[in-house]
Amino acid sequence: MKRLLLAATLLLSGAAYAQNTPWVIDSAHASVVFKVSHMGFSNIYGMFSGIEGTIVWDEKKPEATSFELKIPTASVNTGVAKRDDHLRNTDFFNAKQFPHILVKSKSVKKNGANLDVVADVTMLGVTKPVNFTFHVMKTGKDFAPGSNKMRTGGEATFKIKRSDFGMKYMVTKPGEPGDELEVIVNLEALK
Amino acid sequence: MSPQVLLALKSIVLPAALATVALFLVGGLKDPLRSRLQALILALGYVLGAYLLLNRFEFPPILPADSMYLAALLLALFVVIAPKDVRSRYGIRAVFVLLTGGVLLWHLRATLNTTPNMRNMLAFFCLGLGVWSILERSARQVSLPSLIAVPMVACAATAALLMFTGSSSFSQMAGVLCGQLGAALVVAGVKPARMSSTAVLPFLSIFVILFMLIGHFYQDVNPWWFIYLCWPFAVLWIRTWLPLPKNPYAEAIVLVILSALPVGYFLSTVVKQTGLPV
Repeated sequence: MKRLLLAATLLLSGAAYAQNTPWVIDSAHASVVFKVSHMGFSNIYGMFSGIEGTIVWDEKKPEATSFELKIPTASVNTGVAKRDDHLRNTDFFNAKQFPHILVKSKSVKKNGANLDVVADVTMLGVTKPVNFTFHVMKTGKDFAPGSNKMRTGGEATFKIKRSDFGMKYMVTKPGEPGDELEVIVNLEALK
Repeated sequence: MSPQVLLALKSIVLPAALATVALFLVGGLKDPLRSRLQALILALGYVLGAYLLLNRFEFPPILPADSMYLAALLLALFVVIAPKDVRSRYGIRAVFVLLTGGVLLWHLRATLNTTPNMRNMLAFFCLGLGVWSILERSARQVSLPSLIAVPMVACAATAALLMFTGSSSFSQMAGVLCGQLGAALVVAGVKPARMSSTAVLPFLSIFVILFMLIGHFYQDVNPWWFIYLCWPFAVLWIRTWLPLPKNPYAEAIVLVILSALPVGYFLSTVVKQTGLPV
Protein backbone atom coordinates (compact mmCIF):
# COMPACT_ATOMS: atom_id res chain seq x y z
CA MET A 1 0.00 0.00 0.00
CA LYS A 2 2.82 2.35 0.99
CA ARG A 3 4.61 1.64 -2.31
CA LEU A 4 1.40 2.34 -4.25
CA LEU A 5 0.97 5.68 -2.49
CA LEU A 6 4.59 6.61 -3.15
CA ALA A 7 4.25 5.73 -6.84
CA ALA A 8 1.02 7.77 -7.11
CA THR A 9 2.67 10.75 -5.40
CA LEU A 10 5.66 10.56 -7.75
CA LEU A 11 3.40 10.31 -10.82
CA LEU A 12 1.27 13.25 -9.72
CA SER A 13 4.27 15.44 -8.93
CA GLY A 14 5.74 14.50 -12.32
CA ALA A 15 2.53 15.60 -14.04
CA ALA A 16 2.55 18.86 -12.09
CA TYR A 17 6.19 19.37 -13.04
CA ALA A 18 5.38 18.80 -16.73
CA GLN A 19 2.52 21.30 -16.47
CA ASN A 20 4.71 24.05 -14.94
CA THR A 21 7.94 23.34 -16.78
CA PRO A 22 8.77 26.50 -18.66
CA TRP A 23 9.32 26.48 -22.38
CA VAL A 24 12.91 27.48 -23.11
CA ILE A 25 13.56 29.70 -26.13
CA ASP A 26 15.43 27.91 -28.89
CA SER A 27 18.01 30.61 -29.68
CA ALA A 28 18.84 28.99 -33.03
CA HIS A 29 15.25 29.54 -34.16
CA ALA A 30 14.51 32.91 -32.60
CA SER A 31 15.16 36.35 -34.00
CA VAL A 32 14.01 39.92 -33.65
CA VAL A 33 13.84 41.81 -36.91
CA PHE A 34 13.34 45.56 -37.12
CA LYS A 35 12.57 47.98 -39.90
CA VAL A 36 13.41 51.66 -39.57
CA SER A 37 13.18 54.52 -42.03
CA HIS A 38 16.48 55.98 -43.20
CA MET A 39 15.47 59.65 -43.04
CA GLY A 40 12.48 58.91 -45.23
CA PHE A 41 14.58 57.86 -48.26
CA SER A 42 14.23 54.10 -47.76
CA ASN A 43 14.04 51.52 -44.99
CA ILE A 44 16.88 49.73 -43.20
CA TYR A 45 16.30 46.20 -41.93
CA GLY A 46 18.23 44.78 -39.02
CA MET A 47 18.17 41.71 -36.85
CA PHE A 48 19.08 40.62 -33.32
CA SER A 49 20.03 37.02 -32.65
CA GLY A 50 21.07 34.89 -29.67
CA ILE A 51 17.75 35.53 -27.91
CA GLU A 52 17.31 33.81 -24.56
CA GLY A 53 14.30 33.41 -22.35
CA THR A 54 11.52 31.29 -20.97
CA ILE A 55 7.77 31.01 -21.44
CA VAL A 56 5.43 29.61 -18.84
CA TRP A 57 2.40 28.61 -20.88
CA ASP A 58 -0.64 26.71 -19.78
CA GLU A 59 -2.87 25.84 -22.75
CA LYS A 60 -5.84 25.36 -20.45
CA LYS A 61 -5.26 28.67 -18.71
CA PRO A 62 -3.75 31.09 -21.27
CA GLU A 63 -4.28 34.06 -18.93
CA ALA A 64 -1.67 32.56 -16.61
CA THR A 65 0.92 32.67 -19.38
CA SER A 66 4.08 34.64 -18.70
CA PHE A 67 7.36 35.07 -20.52
CA GLU A 68 10.68 36.85 -20.37
CA LEU A 69 13.02 37.49 -23.30
CA LYS A 70 16.62 38.74 -23.27
CA ILE A 71 17.78 40.21 -26.58
CA PRO A 72 21.56 40.80 -26.78
CA THR A 73 22.11 44.33 -28.12
CA ALA A 74 25.62 43.49 -29.37
CA SER A 75 24.09 40.98 -31.81
CA VAL A 76 22.55 43.74 -33.96
CA ASN A 77 23.17 43.06 -37.62
CA THR A 78 22.11 45.23 -40.56
CA GLY A 79 24.58 43.71 -43.00
CA VAL A 80 27.05 46.63 -42.85
CA ALA A 81 29.76 46.09 -40.21
CA LYS A 82 30.56 49.79 -39.74
CA ARG A 83 26.89 50.69 -39.31
CA ASP A 84 26.49 47.81 -36.82
CA ASP A 85 29.42 49.18 -34.78
CA HIS A 86 27.67 52.56 -34.78
CA LEU A 87 24.38 50.95 -33.69
CA ARG A 88 26.21 49.22 -30.79
CA ASN A 89 27.70 52.44 -29.45
CA THR A 90 26.31 55.22 -27.26
CA ASP A 91 24.39 56.92 -30.11
CA PHE A 92 22.01 53.97 -30.30
CA PHE A 93 21.86 50.72 -28.29
CA ASN A 94 24.85 51.47 -25.98
CA ALA A 95 25.66 47.75 -25.83
CA LYS A 96 28.45 48.12 -23.27
CA GLN A 97 26.19 49.70 -20.70
CA PHE A 98 22.99 47.90 -21.69
CA PRO A 99 23.95 44.43 -22.98
CA HIS A 100 20.30 43.31 -23.26
CA ILE A 101 16.87 44.55 -24.30
CA LEU A 102 14.34 42.91 -21.99
CA VAL A 103 10.76 41.96 -22.88
CA LYS A 104 8.63 40.82 -19.94
CA SER A 105 4.95 39.94 -20.10
CA LYS A 106 2.42 41.88 -18.05
CA SER A 107 -0.82 40.28 -19.21
CA VAL A 108 -1.84 37.64 -21.75
CA LYS A 109 -5.36 37.03 -23.06
CA LYS A 110 -6.53 34.35 -25.46
CA ASN A 111 -7.84 35.69 -28.78
CA GLY A 112 -8.95 32.72 -30.87
CA ALA A 113 -5.81 30.82 -31.79
CA ASN A 114 -3.65 33.81 -30.90
CA LEU A 115 -2.64 35.60 -27.72
CA ASP A 116 -3.17 39.29 -27.00
CA VAL A 117 -0.16 40.41 -25.00
CA VAL A 118 0.80 43.46 -22.99
CA ALA A 119 4.52 43.39 -22.24
CA ASP A 120 7.11 45.71 -20.71
CA VAL A 121 10.02 46.47 -23.02
CA THR A 122 13.16 47.71 -21.24
CA MET A 123 15.73 49.38 -23.47
CA LEU A 124 18.49 51.83 -22.43
CA GLY A 125 17.23 51.59 -18.86
CA VAL A 126 13.75 52.84 -19.77
CA THR A 127 10.69 50.58 -19.47
CA LYS A 128 7.60 51.12 -21.63
CA PRO A 129 4.54 48.90 -22.18
CA VAL A 130 3.76 47.57 -25.67
CA ASN A 131 0.70 45.73 -26.97
CA PHE A 132 0.84 43.02 -29.62
CA THR A 133 -0.85 39.88 -30.81
CA PHE A 134 1.27 36.75 -30.74
CA HIS A 135 0.30 34.39 -33.55
CA VAL A 136 0.90 30.85 -32.36
CA MET A 137 1.88 29.07 -35.56
CA LYS A 138 2.39 25.46 -34.51
CA THR A 139 2.82 23.32 -31.41
CA GLY A 140 3.89 19.71 -31.75
CA LYS A 141 6.53 17.10 -31.16
CA ASP A 142 10.08 18.32 -31.76
CA PHE A 143 11.41 17.33 -35.17
CA ALA A 144 14.96 16.56 -34.00
CA PRO A 145 15.72 12.82 -34.17
CA GLY A 146 15.64 11.22 -30.74
CA SER A 147 14.16 14.29 -29.07
CA ASN A 148 11.31 13.72 -26.62
CA LYS A 149 10.60 17.41 -26.35
CA MET A 150 7.67 19.48 -27.53
CA ARG A 151 8.24 22.47 -29.80
CA THR A 152 6.08 25.56 -30.18
CA GLY A 153 6.54 28.75 -32.15
CA GLY A 154 5.00 31.88 -33.49
CA GLU A 155 5.43 35.50 -34.41
CA ALA A 156 4.40 38.95 -33.23
CA THR A 157 4.65 42.37 -34.85
CA PHE A 158 4.53 45.72 -33.08
CA LYS A 159 5.78 49.28 -33.35
CA ILE A 160 7.82 51.32 -30.89
CA LYS A 161 9.26 54.82 -30.92
CA ARG A 162 12.94 54.77 -30.04
CA SER A 163 12.74 58.32 -28.68
CA ASP A 164 10.38 56.96 -25.97
CA PHE A 165 13.37 54.96 -24.68
CA GLY A 166 15.74 57.94 -24.74
CA MET A 167 17.38 56.88 -28.03
CA LYS A 168 17.15 60.34 -29.54
CA TYR A 169 20.18 60.45 -31.80
CA MET A 170 19.10 61.75 -35.24
CA VAL A 171 15.55 62.27 -33.98
CA THR A 172 15.16 66.03 -33.86
CA LYS A 173 11.39 65.78 -33.47
CA PRO A 174 9.61 62.69 -32.11
CA GLY A 175 7.57 61.03 -34.84
CA GLU A 176 9.96 62.00 -37.65
CA PRO A 177 11.11 59.29 -40.05
CA GLY A 178 13.63 57.13 -38.23
CA ASP A 179 11.95 57.41 -34.84
CA GLU A 180 9.44 54.59 -35.29
CA LEU A 181 10.65 51.01 -35.50
CA GLU A 182 8.54 48.16 -36.78
CA VAL A 183 9.58 45.08 -34.81
CA ILE A 184 8.93 41.42 -35.67
CA VAL A 185 9.59 38.95 -32.87
CA ASN A 186 9.84 35.44 -34.22
CA LEU A 187 10.58 32.58 -31.86
CA GLU A 188 10.42 28.90 -31.14
CA ALA A 189 10.59 27.29 -27.70
CA LEU A 190 11.17 23.78 -26.42
CA LYS A 191 9.85 21.90 -23.40
CA MET B 1 18.94 74.43 -44.47
CA SER B 2 20.19 70.91 -43.71
CA PRO B 3 18.91 69.56 -40.35
CA GLN B 4 22.50 68.78 -39.24
CA VAL B 5 23.62 72.38 -39.88
CA LEU B 6 20.52 73.68 -38.11
CA LEU B 7 21.22 71.39 -35.12
CA ALA B 8 24.86 72.55 -34.98
CA LEU B 9 23.77 76.21 -35.09
CA LYS B 10 21.19 75.60 -32.37
CA SER B 11 23.35 73.53 -30.01
CA ILE B 12 26.85 74.97 -30.56
CA VAL B 13 26.61 78.51 -31.96
CA LEU B 14 23.58 79.79 -29.98
CA PRO B 15 24.87 78.73 -26.49
CA ALA B 16 28.35 79.99 -27.45
CA ALA B 17 26.93 83.40 -28.45
CA LEU B 18 24.94 83.61 -25.19
CA ALA B 19 28.02 82.57 -23.18
CA THR B 20 30.16 85.23 -24.93
CA VAL B 21 27.77 87.99 -23.90
CA ALA B 22 27.39 86.65 -20.34
CA LEU B 23 31.16 86.16 -19.88
CA PHE B 24 31.81 89.67 -21.13
CA LEU B 25 29.23 91.22 -18.81
CA VAL B 26 30.40 89.28 -15.75
CA GLY B 27 34.05 89.99 -16.65
CA GLY B 28 33.78 93.46 -15.10
CA LEU B 29 33.30 92.04 -11.59
CA LYS B 30 36.12 91.39 -9.12
CA ASP B 31 37.61 87.98 -8.34
CA PRO B 32 36.72 85.52 -6.88
CA LEU B 33 33.10 86.31 -7.79
CA ARG B 34 34.06 86.85 -11.45
CA SER B 35 35.81 83.48 -11.85
CA ARG B 36 33.02 81.64 -10.02
CA LEU B 37 30.29 83.20 -12.16
CA GLN B 38 32.27 82.68 -15.38
CA ALA B 39 32.83 78.99 -14.53
CA LEU B 40 29.10 78.66 -13.89
CA ILE B 41 28.33 80.36 -17.23
CA LEU B 42 30.61 77.93 -19.08
CA ALA B 43 29.04 74.93 -17.30
CA LEU B 44 25.49 76.14 -17.94
CA GLY B 45 26.39 77.00 -21.54
CA TYR B 46 27.55 73.42 -22.03
CA VAL B 47 24.40 72.04 -20.35
CA LEU B 48 22.18 74.20 -22.58
CA GLY B 49 24.05 73.20 -25.76
CA ALA B 50 24.04 69.50 -24.91
CA TYR B 51 20.33 69.69 -24.00
CA LEU B 52 19.48 71.37 -27.31
CA LEU B 53 21.54 68.71 -29.07
CA LEU B 54 20.22 65.60 -27.32
CA ASN B 55 16.80 66.80 -26.18
CA ARG B 56 17.20 64.92 -22.90
CA PHE B 57 18.03 65.74 -19.30
CA GLU B 58 17.85 62.83 -16.88
CA PHE B 59 18.63 62.97 -13.20
CA PRO B 60 19.89 60.67 -11.80
CA PRO B 61 21.88 60.05 -14.99
CA ILE B 62 21.02 56.99 -17.08
CA LEU B 63 23.42 57.45 -19.99
CA PRO B 64 26.99 58.83 -20.03
CA ALA B 65 25.62 61.87 -21.90
CA ASP B 66 23.49 62.66 -18.80
CA SER B 67 26.57 62.29 -16.60
CA MET B 68 28.41 64.89 -18.66
CA TYR B 69 25.93 67.54 -17.44
CA LEU B 70 26.84 66.59 -13.89
CA ALA B 71 30.57 66.64 -14.68
CA ALA B 72 30.27 70.18 -16.12
CA LEU B 73 28.49 71.41 -12.99
CA LEU B 74 31.07 69.66 -10.75
CA LEU B 75 33.86 71.55 -12.53
CA ALA B 76 32.05 74.84 -11.88
CA LEU B 77 31.79 73.75 -8.23
CA PHE B 78 35.56 73.20 -8.18
CA VAL B 79 36.11 76.83 -9.17
CA VAL B 80 33.73 77.91 -6.41
CA ILE B 81 35.36 75.92 -3.61
CA ALA B 82 39.01 75.59 -4.71
CA PRO B 83 41.28 77.27 -2.16
CA LYS B 84 44.27 79.40 -3.17
CA ASP B 85 46.71 77.35 -1.07
CA VAL B 86 48.64 75.23 -3.60
CA ARG B 87 48.77 71.95 -1.62
CA SER B 88 45.03 71.83 -0.87
CA ARG B 89 44.35 72.89 -4.44
CA TYR B 90 46.31 69.87 -5.75
CA GLY B 91 44.44 67.56 -3.37
CA ILE B 92 41.01 68.92 -4.26
CA ARG B 93 41.92 68.77 -7.95
CA ALA B 94 42.68 65.05 -7.58
CA VAL B 95 39.34 64.55 -5.81
CA PHE B 96 37.49 66.30 -8.67
CA VAL B 97 39.32 64.27 -11.32
CA LEU B 98 38.23 61.12 -9.45
CA LEU B 99 34.67 62.41 -8.96
CA THR B 100 34.05 63.45 -12.57
CA GLY B 101 35.66 60.28 -13.94
CA GLY B 102 33.69 58.19 -11.45
CA VAL B 103 30.41 59.87 -12.45
CA LEU B 104 31.06 58.98 -16.10
CA LEU B 105 32.18 55.40 -15.52
CA TRP B 106 29.53 54.63 -12.90
CA HIS B 107 27.26 53.10 -15.58
CA LEU B 108 29.95 50.57 -16.49
CA ARG B 109 30.94 49.68 -12.91
CA ALA B 110 29.93 46.03 -13.32
CA THR B 111 32.43 45.52 -16.13
CA LEU B 112 35.39 47.60 -14.93
CA ASN B 113 37.01 45.12 -12.57
CA THR B 114 39.57 43.79 -15.04
CA THR B 115 43.32 44.44 -15.14
CA PRO B 116 43.31 46.38 -18.46
CA ASN B 117 40.39 48.52 -17.30
CA MET B 118 42.02 49.25 -13.93
CA ARG B 119 45.30 50.10 -15.66
CA ASN B 120 43.56 52.39 -18.16
CA MET B 121 41.50 54.11 -15.45
CA LEU B 122 44.76 54.85 -13.58
CA ALA B 123 46.33 56.10 -16.82
CA PHE B 124 43.38 58.44 -17.50
CA PHE B 125 43.45 59.68 -13.89
CA CYS B 126 47.16 60.55 -14.24
CA LEU B 127 46.52 62.10 -17.67
CA GLY B 128 43.68 64.27 -16.32
CA LEU B 129 45.68 65.41 -13.33
CA GLY B 130 48.82 65.96 -15.42
CA VAL B 131 47.05 68.01 -18.09
CA TRP B 132 45.32 70.11 -15.43
CA SER B 133 48.70 70.76 -13.74
CA ILE B 134 50.33 71.76 -17.05
CA LEU B 135 47.53 74.25 -17.72
CA GLU B 136 47.58 75.73 -14.20
CA ARG B 137 51.33 76.25 -14.54
CA SER B 138 50.99 77.65 -18.08
CA ALA B 139 48.29 80.07 -16.90
CA ARG B 140 50.97 82.03 -15.05
CA GLN B 141 53.39 82.15 -18.00
CA VAL B 142 51.48 82.24 -21.27
CA SER B 143 49.01 84.77 -22.70
CA LEU B 144 45.32 84.03 -22.11
CA PRO B 145 44.44 83.64 -25.84
CA SER B 146 47.22 81.00 -26.15
CA LEU B 147 46.10 79.27 -22.96
CA ILE B 148 42.58 78.83 -24.40
CA ALA B 149 43.33 78.38 -28.10
CA VAL B 150 45.92 75.59 -27.78
CA PRO B 151 43.79 73.15 -25.71
CA MET B 152 40.89 73.94 -28.09
CA VAL B 153 42.92 72.12 -30.75
CA ALA B 154 42.88 69.00 -28.53
CA CYS B 155 39.13 69.46 -27.95
CA ALA B 156 38.35 69.86 -31.67
CA ALA B 157 40.60 66.88 -32.50
CA THR B 158 38.78 64.78 -29.87
CA ALA B 159 35.45 65.75 -31.47
CA ALA B 160 36.81 64.68 -34.87
CA LEU B 161 38.23 61.40 -33.56
CA LEU B 162 34.94 60.55 -31.83
CA MET B 163 33.13 61.18 -35.12
CA PHE B 164 35.53 58.98 -37.12
CA THR B 165 35.24 56.19 -34.55
CA GLY B 166 31.46 56.18 -34.69
CA SER B 167 30.00 58.30 -31.89
CA SER B 168 28.38 61.27 -33.56
CA SER B 169 26.50 62.43 -30.47
CA PHE B 170 29.65 62.58 -28.32
CA SER B 171 31.50 64.21 -31.19
CA GLN B 172 28.81 66.91 -31.29
CA MET B 173 28.91 67.25 -27.48
CA ALA B 174 32.67 67.86 -27.72
CA GLY B 175 31.68 70.44 -30.37
CA VAL B 176 29.41 72.10 -27.79
CA LEU B 177 32.41 72.31 -25.44
CA CYS B 178 34.49 73.80 -28.27
CA GLY B 179 31.75 76.42 -28.68
CA GLN B 180 31.97 77.36 -25.00
CA LEU B 181 35.77 77.51 -25.13
CA GLY B 182 35.41 79.62 -28.27
CA ALA B 183 33.24 82.04 -26.28
CA ALA B 184 35.97 82.32 -23.65
CA LEU B 185 38.56 82.81 -26.42
CA VAL B 186 36.57 85.66 -27.99
CA VAL B 187 36.33 87.48 -24.64
CA ALA B 188 40.04 86.80 -23.92
CA GLY B 189 40.97 88.01 -27.41
CA VAL B 190 38.89 91.20 -27.34
CA LYS B 191 39.43 92.17 -23.70
CA PRO B 192 41.78 89.77 -21.83
CA ALA B 193 41.17 91.54 -18.51
CA ARG B 194 37.49 90.48 -18.68
CA MET B 195 38.21 86.72 -18.78
CA SER B 196 39.34 84.74 -15.75
CA SER B 197 41.83 81.94 -16.48
CA THR B 198 40.77 80.22 -13.22
CA ALA B 199 37.21 79.87 -14.56
CA VAL B 200 38.15 78.31 -17.86
CA LEU B 201 41.02 76.02 -16.74
CA PRO B 202 38.98 72.97 -15.64
CA PHE B 203 37.00 73.06 -18.90
CA LEU B 204 40.18 73.31 -20.98
CA SER B 205 41.83 70.38 -19.23
CA ILE B 206 39.81 67.74 -17.41
CA PHE B 207 36.59 68.20 -19.43
CA VAL B 208 38.47 67.47 -22.66
CA ILE B 209 40.05 64.40 -21.01
CA LEU B 210 36.57 63.23 -19.93
CA PHE B 211 35.52 63.05 -23.60
CA MET B 212 38.61 60.93 -24.22
CA LEU B 213 37.62 58.73 -21.26
CA ILE B 214 34.19 58.17 -22.81
CA GLY B 215 35.78 57.44 -26.18
CA HIS B 216 37.91 54.71 -24.69
CA PHE B 217 35.56 53.08 -22.18
CA TYR B 218 32.28 53.35 -24.10
CA GLN B 219 33.48 53.28 -27.72
CA ASP B 220 36.56 51.05 -27.33
CA VAL B 221 38.77 53.63 -29.04
CA ASN B 222 42.47 52.81 -28.64
CA PRO B 223 43.64 54.89 -25.59
CA TRP B 224 46.94 55.65 -27.35
CA TRP B 225 45.02 57.60 -29.98
CA PHE B 226 43.86 59.97 -27.25
CA ILE B 227 47.39 60.25 -25.87
CA TYR B 228 48.45 61.54 -29.32
CA LEU B 229 45.63 64.10 -29.16
CA CYS B 230 47.18 65.47 -25.95
CA TRP B 231 50.06 66.86 -28.01
CA PRO B 232 48.67 70.46 -27.73
CA PHE B 233 48.99 70.22 -23.91
CA ALA B 234 52.60 69.09 -24.38
CA VAL B 235 53.18 72.14 -26.62
CA LEU B 236 52.16 74.38 -23.70
CA TRP B 237 54.56 72.42 -21.51
CA ILE B 238 57.57 72.82 -23.82
CA ARG B 239 56.75 76.37 -24.96
CA THR B 240 59.62 77.85 -22.85
CA TRP B 241 62.15 76.07 -25.10
CA LEU B 242 60.59 77.61 -28.22
CA PRO B 243 61.44 81.01 -29.73
CA LEU B 244 57.95 82.51 -29.59
CA PRO B 245 56.87 86.02 -30.65
CA LYS B 246 56.21 88.49 -27.83
CA ASN B 247 52.83 89.62 -29.21
CA PRO B 248 50.13 87.50 -27.46
CA TYR B 249 48.05 87.01 -30.64
CA ALA B 250 51.11 86.02 -32.71
CA GLU B 251 52.19 83.68 -29.89
CA ALA B 252 48.73 82.05 -29.89
CA ILE B 253 48.79 81.60 -33.68
CA VAL B 254 52.28 80.00 -33.64
CA LEU B 255 51.36 77.65 -30.76
CA VAL B 256 48.06 76.67 -32.44
CA ILE B 257 49.89 75.84 -35.69
CA LEU B 258 52.51 73.82 -33.78
CA SER B 259 49.69 71.94 -32.03
CA ALA B 260 47.39 71.44 -34.98
CA LEU B 261 49.85 70.18 -37.60
CA PRO B 262 50.86 66.84 -35.95
CA VAL B 263 47.32 66.30 -34.63
CA GLY B 264 45.84 66.95 -38.10
CA TYR B 265 48.31 64.52 -39.66
CA PHE B 266 47.43 61.89 -37.04
CA LEU B 267 43.68 62.34 -37.69
CA SER B 268 44.25 61.95 -41.44
CA THR B 269 45.92 58.57 -40.75
CA VAL B 270 42.94 57.58 -38.60
CA VAL B 271 40.50 58.46 -41.40
CA LYS B 272 42.56 56.34 -43.82
CA GLN B 273 42.35 53.47 -41.34
CA THR B 274 38.70 53.72 -40.26
CA GLY B 275 37.05 55.44 -43.23
CA LEU B 276 34.36 58.06 -42.86
CA PRO B 277 31.25 57.33 -40.76
CA VAL B 278 28.37 55.48 -42.48
